Amino acid sequence: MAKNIRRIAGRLGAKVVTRLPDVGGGAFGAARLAAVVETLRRRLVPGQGLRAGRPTDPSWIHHPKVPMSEATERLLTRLAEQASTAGRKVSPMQLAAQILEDALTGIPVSKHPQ
Amino acid sequence: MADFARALGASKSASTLLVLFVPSKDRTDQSIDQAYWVNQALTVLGTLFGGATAFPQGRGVWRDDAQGGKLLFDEPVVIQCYTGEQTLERQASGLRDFLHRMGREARQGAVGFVIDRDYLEIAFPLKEPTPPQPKHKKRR
Repeated sequence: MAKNIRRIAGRLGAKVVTRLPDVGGGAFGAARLAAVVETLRRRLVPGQGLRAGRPTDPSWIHHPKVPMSEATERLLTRLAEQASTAGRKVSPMQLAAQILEDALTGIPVSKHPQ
Repeated sequence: MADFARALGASKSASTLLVLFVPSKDRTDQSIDQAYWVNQALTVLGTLFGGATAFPQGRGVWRDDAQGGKLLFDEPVVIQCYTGEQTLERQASGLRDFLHRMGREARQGAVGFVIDRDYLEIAFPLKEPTPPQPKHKKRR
């Protein structure tokens, strides 16, 4: 992803209208989902200690409850199953966390709240 | 990220995708010389970034808010060009000249393009229709 998109837009005399979602429909969407899953697999590392447990991202220190519909949970479960391999299991909520973090990086947040 | 370029013995690796939409109609719904603009775009992108690919026409729509939200349907050609962010910045001036020229000369409301995951537009003001010139009456 272009890091200096605002600067590039300025030099082209253009305006950034919107950021495209990480995952869309069709073949391109499938390719993007594969990228999300690949990022997630790289982030997950085995835990330390005698009872290491499921691989996780060490930066995920909070475990808040996120409300969602049954349909969303079912979809996450299905996608997580598809994203899992024999050597690396991906849970539905790990996938949800990755998608959420990716989505948040695309939302501009004002440094000076009104 | 894995160094696929080295693993595959590739001599070029580009990680920034530029997607450009070349319209088939102008802002007043009149056909334009799309083949000319596709050829121009490929020439510019090839010169500045080393290559580009134009895909067959699709179907598109753009809402012209300056004309009260009028929907303009056309058959755009989508062109993809892989480059690098630094190259894009270095060649911004040449790319800008082309995009603005296409917008002006092809009488567009906006020129739209995508850089990686960001959709960008260069907007052009709506020109007022030229009022009919009063006829000069010959004095007798």
